Amino acid sequence: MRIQLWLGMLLCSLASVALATERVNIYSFRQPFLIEPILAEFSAQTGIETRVIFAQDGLLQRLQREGRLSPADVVLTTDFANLLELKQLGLTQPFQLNNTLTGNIPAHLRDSEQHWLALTKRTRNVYVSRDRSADITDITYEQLVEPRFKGKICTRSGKHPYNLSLIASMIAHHGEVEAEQWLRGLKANLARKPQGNDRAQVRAVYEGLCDIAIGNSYYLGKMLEDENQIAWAESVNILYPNRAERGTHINVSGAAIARHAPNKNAAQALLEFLSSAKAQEIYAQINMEYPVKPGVAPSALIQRWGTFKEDELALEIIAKYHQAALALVDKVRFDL
Amino acid sequence: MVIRMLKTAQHTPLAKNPRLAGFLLSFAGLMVTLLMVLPVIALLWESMQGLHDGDGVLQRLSSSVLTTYISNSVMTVVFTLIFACSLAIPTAWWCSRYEFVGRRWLQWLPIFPLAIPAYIAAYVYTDMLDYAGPVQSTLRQWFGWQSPHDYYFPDIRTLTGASVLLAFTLFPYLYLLLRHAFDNSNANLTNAARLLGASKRRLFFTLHLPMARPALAMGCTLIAMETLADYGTVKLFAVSTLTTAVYDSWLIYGSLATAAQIASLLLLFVLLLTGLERYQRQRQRFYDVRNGVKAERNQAGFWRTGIIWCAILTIVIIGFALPVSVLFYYAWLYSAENLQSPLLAPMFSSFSLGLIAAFVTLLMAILLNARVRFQPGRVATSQLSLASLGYAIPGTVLAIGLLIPFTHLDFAINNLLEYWQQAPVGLVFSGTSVALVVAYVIRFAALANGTLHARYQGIPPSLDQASQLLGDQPHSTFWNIHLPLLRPAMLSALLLVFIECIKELPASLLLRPFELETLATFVFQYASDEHLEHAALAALFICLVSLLPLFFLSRTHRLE
Repeated sequence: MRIQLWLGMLLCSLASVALATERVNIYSFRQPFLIEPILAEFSAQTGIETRVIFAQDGLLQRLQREGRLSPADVVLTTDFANLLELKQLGLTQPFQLNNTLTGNIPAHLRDSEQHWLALTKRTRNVYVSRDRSADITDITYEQLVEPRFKGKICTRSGKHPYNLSLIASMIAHHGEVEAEQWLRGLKANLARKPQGNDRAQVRAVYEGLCDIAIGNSYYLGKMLEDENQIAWAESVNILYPNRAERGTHINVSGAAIARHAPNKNAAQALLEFLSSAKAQEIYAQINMEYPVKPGVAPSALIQRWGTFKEDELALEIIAKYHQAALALVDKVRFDL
Repeated sequence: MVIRMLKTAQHTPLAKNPRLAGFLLSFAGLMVTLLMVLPVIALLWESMQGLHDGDGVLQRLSSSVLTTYISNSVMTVVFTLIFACSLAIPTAWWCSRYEFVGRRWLQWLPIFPLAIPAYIAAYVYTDMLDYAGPVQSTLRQWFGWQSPHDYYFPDIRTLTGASVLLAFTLFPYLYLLLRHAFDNSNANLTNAARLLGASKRRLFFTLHLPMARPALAMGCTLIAMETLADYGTVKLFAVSTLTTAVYDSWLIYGSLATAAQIASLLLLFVLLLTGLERYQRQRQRFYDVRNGVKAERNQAGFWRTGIIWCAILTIVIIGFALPVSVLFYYAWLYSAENLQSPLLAPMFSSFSLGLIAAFVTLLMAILLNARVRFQPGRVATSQLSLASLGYAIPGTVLAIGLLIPFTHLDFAINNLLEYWQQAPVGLVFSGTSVALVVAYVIRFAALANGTLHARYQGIPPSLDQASQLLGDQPHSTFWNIHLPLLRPAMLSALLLVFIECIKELPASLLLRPFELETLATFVFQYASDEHLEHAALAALFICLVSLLPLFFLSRTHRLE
């Protein structure tokens, strides 16, 4: 009798907790500390509590295995290949395309069937040494294979998603044969075996190991904010490749609503909030990324680097060549 | 503590019925083995389906890079083993066979490098020693060198670099196992050999080292398995191995089947290796049945003491003190960020999950080893080997291997509830800490199984026979003879598994439920954003929590 009473009380209290707060569960490829300020703002505005699981490898597979029992409502990704794979595997459901979302996110940055949307943009830049290569003020990805750069280029592993999508975009623009030649040429120009992260490449320029580094835009912004790394960042000029022609390669971070989201309304609310001016500003200020919402300006620091033209090749097309890009990296033994 | 827990079981009616006890033992052994191979079976199932469908990923890989990956994997294992042996054998020998000033304290130091996760040590060392790192920059400043062509400095991001680092973080396994072996070797044999005129060198190479072979083999197997399964560390060193192929085919080519096939190749490799080793020494025995006199330690002279001190201190500085000081430096440099981090909850979850997993693993290891002892034969031995396989599977792959059966189980439960028109309960196994603990147990069972197995082989069967002659039932032999003798090995096993659980990253990352953060996953979110410095304090806490039981043990328990 007494046990039943206790159990009843326990169940009631659990139920009341469940009723009291609305929740949205997030599976995130993004580091929680990067999105925390934004999620805190979301909770403050809507009263909806957020819970995050962060992982990078295998999160999609977890979602897939969990099927209709999955607690996930929203998936946040850092790379468009993940976004498209989510849709392809049938792990997403369409969001409601209302005026808020159409106003916040340009059509080419969301799925035509509303399965995913982009939240921020980042460019794949070329950094050149201020001391040794100040004369280079404009560059294209294609020029990186020229003999004058022999032994002067540093980059991270060719298999990192950021490099893979750059290589995939080269395949999309030039075809596989030409892209292979380009990748071979790039490898031949490397100062060292691909290694480290994007910051490490800038640091290698600072230390004089190479003159040119490939890296994402926001890392430079973050290094300029870090007093221990500011010297590295100040040793390079940032260039936006191909800005005179097709434009600089961009990647996006994005979001999707999970196929079996238990809290679909909260998920929709989160998506709308993430694309709102407030959230987009935080993305721009704290993470140094390019906001997608028209009218929200990038951070002052990034604005100083000037404007750029973005490569408007549809992300779906680039994503189609993702596996071909990896096959090329293996074929030319880029990392070995 | 475990012994006390187990001893209470002694007085149950079960103990009075030996046949039932025997049946229960084999049944429990079977169940435990089944649980342990669950992810392996799931992966094999996946790879079979891949063979059937044939997605061409394996062909693609094998036409370009697979042979390089295989040779890299083999070379990394060989080099790591060579380096680890040359670190562990002398240190264990000195601490076991020589008496010198400070031995009581110094003998604990070689275990310390275990407390640092390999990926953190790798981050620190690659950062410190590569061209742009502080060491080379300072050298360039001092000598006025301008470019890499002006001087020679060994490249850290190579296969050798990775092997050295792995050896430094993994050799303590071998050290602990060898310590038990050397400590328990019998003085009679030594004295006999000495009377026959064997030199010290000959004594070591023809008597002591071969006598320690089970321990040596076990330690090397553990190190080889961990090296084969490693992904994060070799990646930092820019070395591509077979695990790279596993991850590429799974995460980018989207073929879990191919990944499972390559992972199965890894497992086959390990099974072959251990099987061969065991076959080779199957008729050998590693105990001395005569009334053993424990070997006295030789008093080390002044010079030898000096050498021992220098060697051990150098090893511990490289393997532990230096990376820890760098972490302290990072924590100080970014003190504001580090002090903000909420670390109490991750510390608590790491500690409690590790403790639970360590005890469960130990109980299972005792069970499986007891089965080998009391019901010897192929079945029991192969169960022990099978139950250790998890250690050779890369953590993320193991996690998926576990998710496959666990989500099936969850679906079964929920379907059943729906059939009975009850409310569904959601993911009971795959979405809670249960999955995490089971993953830890499966992943690190090899450590406990191996440690106990090596010790069990040193207990002569004559003790069992004597106990039985005196009328003891097998279970009393186990409680009264084996358990007390196994105690040091049990503590080592507990310690090793606990430390590994605290450090475990890939499976924790993927399997944890909402609102559960371990220290390792907390560190990873920063490290993966190229910001390990901001989580240096948390990384230090990993070392601290790993070392806590060590301090406790060093007070109550002597290594010998």
